[in-house]
Amino acid sequence: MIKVANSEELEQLLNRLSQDYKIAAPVVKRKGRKERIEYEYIDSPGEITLERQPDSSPKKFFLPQNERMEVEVAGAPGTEDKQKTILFGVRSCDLEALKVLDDVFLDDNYIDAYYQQHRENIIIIGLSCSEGKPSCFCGTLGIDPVKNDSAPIFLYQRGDRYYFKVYDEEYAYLLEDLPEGDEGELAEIVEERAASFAENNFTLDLPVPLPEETTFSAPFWGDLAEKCLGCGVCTYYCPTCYCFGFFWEQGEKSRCWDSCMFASFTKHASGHNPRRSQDQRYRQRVMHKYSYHPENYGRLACTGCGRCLDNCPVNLDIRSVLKTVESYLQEKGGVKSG
Amino acid sequence: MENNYKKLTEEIRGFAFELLKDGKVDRVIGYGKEEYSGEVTPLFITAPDESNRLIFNSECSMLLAKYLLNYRESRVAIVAKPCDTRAIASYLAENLLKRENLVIIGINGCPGITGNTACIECTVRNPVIFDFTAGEAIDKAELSPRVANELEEMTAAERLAYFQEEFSRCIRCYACREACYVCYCEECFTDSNQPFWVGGSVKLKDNFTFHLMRSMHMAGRCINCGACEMACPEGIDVRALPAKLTRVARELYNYEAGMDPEQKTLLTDYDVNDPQPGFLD
Amino acid sequence: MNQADTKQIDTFEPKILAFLCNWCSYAAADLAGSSRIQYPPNIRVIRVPCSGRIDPLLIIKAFNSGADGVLVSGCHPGDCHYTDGNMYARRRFVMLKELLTFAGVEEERVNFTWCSASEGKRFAGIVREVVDRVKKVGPWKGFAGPAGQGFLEREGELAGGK
Repeated sequence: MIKVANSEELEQLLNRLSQDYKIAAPVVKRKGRKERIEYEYIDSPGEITLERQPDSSPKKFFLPQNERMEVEVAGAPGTEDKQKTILFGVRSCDLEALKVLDDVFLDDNYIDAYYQQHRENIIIIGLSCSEGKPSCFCGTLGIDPVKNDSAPIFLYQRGDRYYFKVYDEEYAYLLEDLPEGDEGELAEIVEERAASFAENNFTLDLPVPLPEETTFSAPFWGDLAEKCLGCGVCTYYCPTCYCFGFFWEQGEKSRCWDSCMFASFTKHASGHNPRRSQDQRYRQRVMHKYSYHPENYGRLACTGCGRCLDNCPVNLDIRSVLKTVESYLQEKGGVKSG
Repeated sequence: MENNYKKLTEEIRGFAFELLKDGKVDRVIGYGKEEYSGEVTPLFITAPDESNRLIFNSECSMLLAKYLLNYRESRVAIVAKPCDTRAIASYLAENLLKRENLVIIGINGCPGITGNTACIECTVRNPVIFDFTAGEAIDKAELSPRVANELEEMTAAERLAYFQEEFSRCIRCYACREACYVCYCEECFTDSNQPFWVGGSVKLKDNFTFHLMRSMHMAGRCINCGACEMACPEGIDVRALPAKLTRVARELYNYEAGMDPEQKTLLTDYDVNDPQPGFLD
Repeated sequence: MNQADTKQIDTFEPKILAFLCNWCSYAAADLAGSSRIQYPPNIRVIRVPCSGRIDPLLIIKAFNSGADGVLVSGCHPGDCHYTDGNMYARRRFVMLKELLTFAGVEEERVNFTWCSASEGKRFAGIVREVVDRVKKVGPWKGFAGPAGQGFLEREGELAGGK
């Protein structure tokens, strides 16, 4: 089903929805030195900007950077506000990233009640990308930036026209005010955009998952990670990085993001650190995304959103790293993993 | 006076080529370009042929001096902006590096880095310590650094509000710490749990405390290079507090960090007649 | 002192953390006590071997933990039991005070002085002065605090979850 709106109708729609739902969407935050676009709860639809990919991922709505654990028992999530949220304008890369988080936190054997609660309380409206930024490489990893059916509703914007493609009829009631649209018109947009994304200067021919032993013991990690400073920027901006640590303060337990880039991440109480140097830590990050997670869950844990290289203080580019891995594996005789 | 980036790049490449060819150093640390993004990035080269990958332009913001700590035992040449040379001088003063292992290719008359607000305040535009220099030295008399700071004009309450707004955006990624030449501790106070200094969560009060504690460690050592600010992905004014301390050190003790490899750091030295403003009688 | 009292500005009794060096200032406090010199009970004393031992981070942490003010006292310059510990401390405290006041902490909350073992009377006077100074600026709002709110009010869990 397709629903269509112009910007005025969209505003009315969001105003109406905001009576029953909290609405979060990308907004421009101009504070300090850098202009940032971030997902925030909004007061009025006028704040929303769909111009480009937001600078930080929406994972904070599902895995807050600092979440208080109300009860220290698994399966007892907090008593926080249960009002449902509509998360508006999530692009393909971030939608795919949510699947990675789901793999981990909604694993049948170990369901994370806190994550599950956030997940159930948030209705996502996806957004089709109209153009990539220079650091994007989702297409290379097999993700379609133009259309994605993993959100119940997916939005295409062209000029003043907003096309909502409803994938899950259960949520069609959200858009009941809007007139139905024409499938043909939408197909046209999809085709047009697919063409604009077709030319891709970055191609990869990597076995997925990466063969663990060959890649792990490859000699190049020291050179690749030479410039890595060991800050947590790439992991904190990554839509799929989910590692966390616990903190206790005055009897309050909270779960905070942690980063495998920090030396203290793997440090034992004895003082021993199995990942002593930064190249080992950087290797862990790449291997987790391209070898371990695909091995365990059959899905790459990188969506090519490009935020790690946009924000890296030393502009370490994961694409160059992957290229090095690629040529090494080809040299090794095209080892394909089973 | 105007330095030409193309000429600087060529000179740097020339030095790097000769040093590697003659086996004087094992590696050269400089700036290069990432293949796909085209962004400036630190570059480590070990073969003379690679020297044509070195570049220098107004985007070369990273403080390369910090990488020297990874190569204490090998012979390294480094492309050093004047602020890098000050960091190196501090490292030498703290006995962290061996001068004989180092070849410093200094950038003369540094024109400043795009987007780095510290460069506007910079008074050291020529390397303080070097073996080779690229570019023309700048005449100090031509400099008119802006030292005035809007923050100084504010009331205490206004400044508190300003810093609260800034630090509320901190995500505790520690990029400021990792980019800073001062922060080479084996274990940072933020990672220590015995004693426990500051919470690792992103509450404003802990963020604020983290930045105060970080800045206090910069006292008398910060060279006001702006690396912390350039590294911050959230664009927080993380330089304001340490920069204030460098101004205080200048005014009260006539002290400038990293100007001389023989110099003691501010807080490891004293004078019996030191001023004590603000002390109770 | 009741915690609820700290919320009321008119009955505000500040909590002041006092770092006193073992050899001079702690002895001065002792002398004030044994000489029965009265001074306000607002200070909580931490005895340290030397003012040079006080890591500035301890003082920042005190403010993070809700202290309304801090007093540091060591031997007079030249009289340090360890020759020059207080000389090093002096530079550190000057820098710390500049940092804290620049970050928006009221100058009155950060107090440094020197006090010898024989100055029991003077020590009592200093404590009175410091308490007055801190009372003048009111309860410490905390690094996260909006103006006009007390530290304990916001840090609800400290005041019993109110």
